[in-house]
Amino acid sequence: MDTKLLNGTVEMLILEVVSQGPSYGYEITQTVISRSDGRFELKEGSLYPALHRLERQMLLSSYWTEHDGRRRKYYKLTTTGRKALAARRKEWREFASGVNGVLGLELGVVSR
Amino acid sequence: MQDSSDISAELPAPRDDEPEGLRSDILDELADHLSCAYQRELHGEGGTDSRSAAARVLARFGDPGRVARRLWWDAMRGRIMSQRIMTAALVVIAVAGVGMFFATWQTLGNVRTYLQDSQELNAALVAKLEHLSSTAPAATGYDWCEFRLELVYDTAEGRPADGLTATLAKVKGGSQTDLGKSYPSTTQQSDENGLIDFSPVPYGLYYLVVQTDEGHRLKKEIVIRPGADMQLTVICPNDVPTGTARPAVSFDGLTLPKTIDGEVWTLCRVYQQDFTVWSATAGQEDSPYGGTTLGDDRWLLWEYETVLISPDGRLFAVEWPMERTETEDRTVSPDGGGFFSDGVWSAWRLSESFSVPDELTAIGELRLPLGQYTADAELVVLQPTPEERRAMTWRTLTDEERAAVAFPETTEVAANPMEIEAGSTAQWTIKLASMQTLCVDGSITIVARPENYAMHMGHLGGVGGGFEGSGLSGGGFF
Repeated sequence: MDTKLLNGTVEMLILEVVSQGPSYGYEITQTVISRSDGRFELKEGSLYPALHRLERQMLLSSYWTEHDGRRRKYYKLTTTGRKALAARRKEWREFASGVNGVLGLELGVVSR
Repeated sequence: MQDSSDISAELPAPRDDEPEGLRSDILDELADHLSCAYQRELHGEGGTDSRSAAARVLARFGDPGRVARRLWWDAMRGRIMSQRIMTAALVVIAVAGVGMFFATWQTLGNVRTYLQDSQELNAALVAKLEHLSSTAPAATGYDWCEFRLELVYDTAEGRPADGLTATLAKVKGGSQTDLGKSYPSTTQQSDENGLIDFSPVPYGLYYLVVQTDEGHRLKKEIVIRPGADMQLTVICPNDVPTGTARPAVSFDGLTLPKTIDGEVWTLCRVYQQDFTVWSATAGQEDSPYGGTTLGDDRWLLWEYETVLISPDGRLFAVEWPMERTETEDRTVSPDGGGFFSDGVWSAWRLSESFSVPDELTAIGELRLPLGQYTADAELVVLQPTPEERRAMTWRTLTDEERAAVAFPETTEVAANPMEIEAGSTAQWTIKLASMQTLCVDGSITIVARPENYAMHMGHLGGVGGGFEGSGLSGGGFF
């Protein structure tokens, strides 16, 4: 998939994955690849600037744990992040509905 | 596989304002990700060797150092930008300060240059003015005239009168204005040739005043016409011959109140005054009198001679002016005599005391330069203290005493003419019989008739030399 189409939705995808429960960077990338059936192939390194930006925006909070002798940073959704995710879902539905309407595709492809 | 130390080398140098743990957090997070991905590549489906696994991990992740720098920069951007802005602001302030300093320095330099230029300009102007003043013509043009004064003694061909003072004062509009009071005047002293050069002077009407060391004073008007230079010769009196006079007081017809508690003396002042009187016997013409005439000028003796006259007729010299003290305020006195001015009656004077020397010096007579004189007489009371006669108190009559003085009903003023002969003493009797308004304060003005002076001058013509008679006529006055 063209990564340009993905750039505008990375933050929304991160918020969506983290909304399922606390997660760390590598796990978030794997979840996105898994749930997109491998369609989304983004540079994994580009995920971290987005994560840190969402953390500075107080949409995500973080904490550290120990795993196999390594420090691991987990991210979880804040209340503000939950509200922001709901708003972005609504925007995406309206955007996708419009795009599908124009393209003559069935609605509900990305509904959730 | 790239470890955290390799990534750490990619980060910028540590900073003092860097949050503690930022660098390690970034490295640990990225290292955890790479480790997970590497393990998955090694042990996942279709596992591969470590080199290939590491290559595939880096291919999916991208450059870890670049990602780490990006994360570090995102975290530090606010601080770094603030610091840069602060630094830039300081640089701007420093540059502005330096600019201000140089601008001020340059302004000061300009001011110094301007002041220096101004000083040079002022110096040039002063030099120019000095040059102009030094080269100005003495008296040129229509408005400015030369005026020189020549002072000689006794006659027009007499010797130069040196060392006399002369004052020239402009008369604005020709009004009778006191010398030097309202208008500019200049006073100079005659040189050894008796000359004074007032040049240049603007044309117009002037008062000229010349004064001798003996106290004679000439005041005359002169007209300097436009464009006409002028030289004036003034004949000045010198060694004026003197005569003697003995003022006396006549109490004929005068009744003094018995309430006066002391001796009644007379205070008499003899002086020359620039009067012009109406002379009935001279065809009702105005006749000037007083002073001494030389050429066309009339000189006045600018001094008083003051004497106290005792009841028995002795003369005692005193100095004038005496220190006088009013003991009461002036009051409106419509019944007690006085003067009427601007619709208001006022008393002449209330009781005054005055001082005289403790030791009075008796003189036989007054010696005066020949001339025409006026005498004022005033009744005063000597009150010796009971303890010591030398501690005397002199005072004028009080209002009540003046009101009680009985004058003869006649209004004719009879003053004996003063007859002065060379080597003898004239008796000049002041008769205290006069118009009551003039005698309320005990004073009376006695005027010597001009023809007596003419006669007298004839007597002394050989003594003073060169003095002419007054030339005035008129046998009486009032």
